[in-house]
Amino acid sequence: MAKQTITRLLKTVFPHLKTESGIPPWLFPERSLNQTIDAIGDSGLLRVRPPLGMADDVSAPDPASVSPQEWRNAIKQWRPLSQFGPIMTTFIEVAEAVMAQFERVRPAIDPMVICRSIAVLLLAPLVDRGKLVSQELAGVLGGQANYPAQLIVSYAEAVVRGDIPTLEKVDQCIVRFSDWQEWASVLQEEVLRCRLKPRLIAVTPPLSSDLTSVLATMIKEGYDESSGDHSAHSGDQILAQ
Amino acid sequence: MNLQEIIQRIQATRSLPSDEDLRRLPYLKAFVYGRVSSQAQVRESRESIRDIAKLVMTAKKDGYKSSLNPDDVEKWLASIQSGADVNRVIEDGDIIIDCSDLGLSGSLGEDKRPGLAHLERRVESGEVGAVYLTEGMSRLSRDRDRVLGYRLLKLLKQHTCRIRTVEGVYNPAIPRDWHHLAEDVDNSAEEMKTSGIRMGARRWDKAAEGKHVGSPVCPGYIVPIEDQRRDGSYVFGKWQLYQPHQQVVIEALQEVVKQRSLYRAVQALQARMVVFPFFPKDLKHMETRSALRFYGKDSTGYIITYNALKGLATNLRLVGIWQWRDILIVNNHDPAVTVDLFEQAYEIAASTKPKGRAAYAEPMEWAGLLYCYDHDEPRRVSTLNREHRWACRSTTPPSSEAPCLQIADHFLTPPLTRAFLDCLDLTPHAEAVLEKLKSEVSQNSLEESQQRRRETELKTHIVNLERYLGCGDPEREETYWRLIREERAKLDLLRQRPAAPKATPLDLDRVAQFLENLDSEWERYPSRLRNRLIKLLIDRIELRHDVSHIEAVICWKIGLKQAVNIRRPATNFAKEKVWRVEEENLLRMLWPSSSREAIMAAFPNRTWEAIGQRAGRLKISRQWVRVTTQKSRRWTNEEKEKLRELYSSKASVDDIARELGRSRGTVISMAHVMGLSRPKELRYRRREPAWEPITIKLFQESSSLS
Repeated sequence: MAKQTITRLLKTVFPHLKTESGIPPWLFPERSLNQTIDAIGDSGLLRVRPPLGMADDVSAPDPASVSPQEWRNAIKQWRPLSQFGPIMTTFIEVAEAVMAQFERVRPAIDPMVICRSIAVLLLAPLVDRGKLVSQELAGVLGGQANYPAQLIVSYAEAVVRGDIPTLEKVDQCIVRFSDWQEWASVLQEEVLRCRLKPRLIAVTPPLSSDLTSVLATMIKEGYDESSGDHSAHSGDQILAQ
Repeated sequence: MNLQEIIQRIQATRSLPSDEDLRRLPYLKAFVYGRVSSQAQVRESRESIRDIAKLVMTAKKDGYKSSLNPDDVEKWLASIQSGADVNRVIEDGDIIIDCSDLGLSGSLGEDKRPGLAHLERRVESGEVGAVYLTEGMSRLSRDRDRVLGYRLLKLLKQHTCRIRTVEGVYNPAIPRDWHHLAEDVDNSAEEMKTSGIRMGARRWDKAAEGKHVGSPVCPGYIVPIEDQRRDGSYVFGKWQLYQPHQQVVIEALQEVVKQRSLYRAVQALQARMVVFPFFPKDLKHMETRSALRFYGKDSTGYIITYNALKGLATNLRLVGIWQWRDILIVNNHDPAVTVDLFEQAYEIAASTKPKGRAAYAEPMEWAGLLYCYDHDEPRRVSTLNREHRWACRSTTPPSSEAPCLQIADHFLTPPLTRAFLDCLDLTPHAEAVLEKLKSEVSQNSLEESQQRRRETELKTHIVNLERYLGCGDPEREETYWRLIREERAKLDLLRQRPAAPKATPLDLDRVAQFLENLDSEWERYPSRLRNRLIKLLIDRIELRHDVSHIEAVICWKIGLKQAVNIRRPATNFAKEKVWRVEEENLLRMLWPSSSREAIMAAFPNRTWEAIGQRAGRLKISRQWVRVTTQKSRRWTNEEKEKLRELYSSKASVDDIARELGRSRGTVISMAHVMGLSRPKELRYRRREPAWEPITIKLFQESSSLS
């Protein structure tokens, strides 16, 4: 396998995946994703591959050799595509509220357990190997495995409610599926190793002449000020190289 | 009556009158209208006047019955010519003669021509059937715009009134006659225009000599009468100073300079009752020629108002410069004020700097974007810039309605800005911004080269003009010098422009860095710039609130909606603090005679100061109460030490006062004298908002307000 193939593959595929799954452009911005993927690297990604069903010797096409249309066609063939958008959107919606509860529930349950559970709730519905664990989790959370977004909401509500028994039941359920528990732990390790806090939401408004003009003015005024020359009109002009 | 007769009668009634019928005279009464343009014509032009008498004879010949005979009419006209005070209107039988407008211009309207007004009245009343004129329509109107002429024609047409001149009888109701008379109106207007141009040229020549040409004379000056023409009109020379008014002008401008404000200067002058005194009898002609005729008057003279003072402080004529249209003559007449004083006053009067509280106020961040959604229709939340507050108030009457939201800026802006910046990522635009900066640098270079080229052009022009000098013709020489001076002034002005700024490097990394650190550097930028950026990206903020919470939804133009839940701490502006009617009634009852303790017990949630203030507003006072005079106790060293110890502890001031057996006020004032201060944690702190982005709602809807 070529060096950093998975990294390049993910970077290439993700924008198409976002488009095809209907995720708004400001969610999971490419820049954040690219930073995270680069930080984890191919080696890290290979460590978290088992539930994805990838073989040890991953053979992926060179991303540049596939046209965007071909990528989109391939993504459209992906069965869980319809679930991908709602799962990611729901995750964003509940993430802040869940994290806000970490300190409150810490005496009763380790917040890392919550993170691992959410990771499983996110990925399991999207891969074939996750069917069983999804069904088990649906049973615990009182939902249906066919509606994974609803499961995430139910779990988040349990966190906000401080419903420790439910959270523990979810954790025990994951523990029973040792490969998922192992995967979640590895993922957690990799994420913690990166020491990154990627932005999940980043609005990049469409470029317009007004926008560039305002930003250019701000740069100039800021530059005049930072250079210690407060006489803005006689100050040095910025030269773009 | 048989059928044949009936048919003939109906035919006769319904058939249109012929042109001859329409011109037939006599018809109703005859109105002989006499007018010549000037008093000189009245006095000197015997022929014109005699023509009026002839018209009377013509009217009689046309069949109008009257006992007037030509001799009597000529005598009457002669008495008018001689200036005798006689009635200028005669009505006898079917003939009315009106010579009220003798000596009045045909360009004047009926409001200034009593004879014309009389004619219109009589025509409208249906009394007059024919107007007798010495010439054509030019006697009735010489209005350059033709408005009056055509209006009169229409009036005469509506009343089928004939116009009788020596040439014949015309009826404007007949199309052919209308064309003839209309042509007459047009010709009269053209004549007036030509005459105006001729007169204008004369006026121009006079103005070029710096002489008075009829425009209002500036206060401080009079125009001397140099001569009187044969028609009685005056010939004026150059303006002359008029000492009594000149003093007032100087005083007024000095006041402007002293007060540095026209408004304050007017107030000061009015307080001192400074006015322009009325003109004496020998200068009576100035009453209608001085600009003071536009001023207000009181019994002492012409009053100086703001506009009057502004007019004075910006009038170049006060320093001896004659200005009429594009004519400008320096040192034309004696200056009324010194150039120095005028310059100072002018600077103040012509200053256009913005006034008022908001002149230098930066707009509040998010201004114009906040809407209160607690109403049937979203209501814009307005900024109270000076107080740094927001208020949701009704814009439609009755405006007495209390605002539903009034909140300090620091409760709203920081949460909104933080949420906005948290989501904003402009780093992908780094290259575009860099391109923009590049283009601005090249634009500066372009402007610089344009300036250099203009400078070169001016220099060449000056050199060329200098070559023409020494031609021997003083007039041309003067023109060349003037042109050279103008070009040099332009060159100086061009050189005074700030030089194009030097270029320094800024690369893509730095632009990216700026965009990356926008949130941390945000406060450094002026709020006008911050607002510009915000308004480009945000459509509106929807506010929903109750006493303790505000939910603010930031609606991005691209469709994202961010909800921020702001907790609002209780403030002193709570509605419970407002005095209710029953409380006021109770206060009215207790305040005059009850003891302080009783009053305080009746209003447990209010301080004594607040109760006192309310009583003051209600204009109720306390009855005289005997105050037991206590001899003031001196503070002992022990007491002071005790105070030092207690004051820096967390004990309340009331407790300390009780402990020391002194009043609260005494304790505070002694602590102040001793330089003591309360512990940090007890000091007043500004209440800060707490907020959290409760949810991030995601929508792809189009914005309704954009």
